[in-house]
Amino acid sequence: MPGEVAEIALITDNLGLPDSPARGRESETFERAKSGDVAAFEEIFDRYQRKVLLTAWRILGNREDARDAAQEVFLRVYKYLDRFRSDQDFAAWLYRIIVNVCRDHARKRGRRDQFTSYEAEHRQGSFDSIASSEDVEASLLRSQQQTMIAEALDSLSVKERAAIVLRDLEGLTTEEVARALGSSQATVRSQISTARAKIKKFKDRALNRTRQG
Amino acid sequence: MNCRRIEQLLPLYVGGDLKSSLANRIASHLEWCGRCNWLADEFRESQSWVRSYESPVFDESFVGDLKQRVLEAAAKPHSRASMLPSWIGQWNRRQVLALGATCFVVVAMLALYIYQSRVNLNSNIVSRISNPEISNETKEKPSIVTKAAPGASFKAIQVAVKRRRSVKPRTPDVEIASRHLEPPRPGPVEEVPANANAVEQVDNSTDMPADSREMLRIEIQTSDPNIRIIWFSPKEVDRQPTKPLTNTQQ
Repeated sequence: MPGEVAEIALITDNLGLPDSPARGRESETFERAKSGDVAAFEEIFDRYQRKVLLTAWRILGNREDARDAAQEVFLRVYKYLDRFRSDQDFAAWLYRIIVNVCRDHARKRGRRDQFTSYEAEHRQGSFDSIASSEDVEASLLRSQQQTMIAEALDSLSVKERAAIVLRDLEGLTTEEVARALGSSQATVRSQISTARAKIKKFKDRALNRTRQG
Repeated sequence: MNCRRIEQLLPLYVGGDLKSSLANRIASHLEWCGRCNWLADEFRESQSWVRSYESPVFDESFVGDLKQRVLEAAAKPHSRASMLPSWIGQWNRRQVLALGATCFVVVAMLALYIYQSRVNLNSNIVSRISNPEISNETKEKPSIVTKAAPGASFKAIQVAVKRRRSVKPRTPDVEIASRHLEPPRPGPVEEVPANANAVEQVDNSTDMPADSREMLRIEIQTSDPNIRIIWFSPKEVDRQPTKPLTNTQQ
């Protein structure tokens, strides 16, 4: 999206995100990728694929959607790389694209599908864990807890989920989250506050249900 | 700062998202308020609970498949150009609906405009002032039938329309004259150039050509003594019935 990329271009340099040890070499890689060097683009892919996949998975809640989103993210990176300036922070630029792509995916997919996929994902994960673990009971409890967290995240709106994932799971500062989401810091704080309150409420209810059951 | 306000700020306080001055005030409150302190612990626990969310392991085949798909898509010739499709593709439902509604309104206005212009053309074909002098004069002076006397609310509206029996091919002159002679809309007349003869000219329609005298003249006096509506309509002419075709070869 041109408007979005223009906004991304406004993100100033170093946001304090995890810095690459060889920043000079990295910018050289970007320059090569900009000029159409596929090997350089592959290098970028290899370096950032885990970050993209994990963030997309945390926001979207299942592997298939995360893979589709990651594909779209890297395609956008390839398309708009020539608008990325070397003095900017690539990670911040990338987070912005990830969040936008995930929002679009979540919007297209709808909420109901998302919930079932979260559940199925963790159910599948729990069976795998049980089969491979000696302590079946502990594994089952852990699996249940993971499912509960997934459901708690799923109870949030897409914006709240993106904010809480970036802040609490990815460890970005409020300022960085605001830049990634394209919102003001006050908005992000409000979203984070609401999300944490909702998660706490969900957890309390779920624990009460477990105790009663 | 009361407990209610503290409760609202606790989600941000436990995450370290508040300014230090505000955080210090909350911390001092928590030192003596047991309930708020307990609530803060609950929020901390909830936050660490979310942070224990494990991330899945993406195996080699999964990542390899993704990489292949990305590189294949990037290798396509239009993967870097054509921003428009991706731009449109990102529009959400509301934006698409808004665009559709806008297009609909624009098309509807355009259709209305075309329809009205056609109606005007049709009316121009059948209506015309028969007196060519008036037509010529109206070409030069578009304001014809209204006159405002100084200091008085005088308003005169006269409409003279003659339907022509034989419709001649429309020429640009005819069209211009008939447009100028369209009856003015009712309403206050702000400014009219002095053209006192205009009314008389229309009234002198009795000097029309012979074929025009076969018109039926209808005069309507409105409640305003200064306003009279004169309407010309073609008279019904008794025509000799034509003989029916008969077979004369009997």
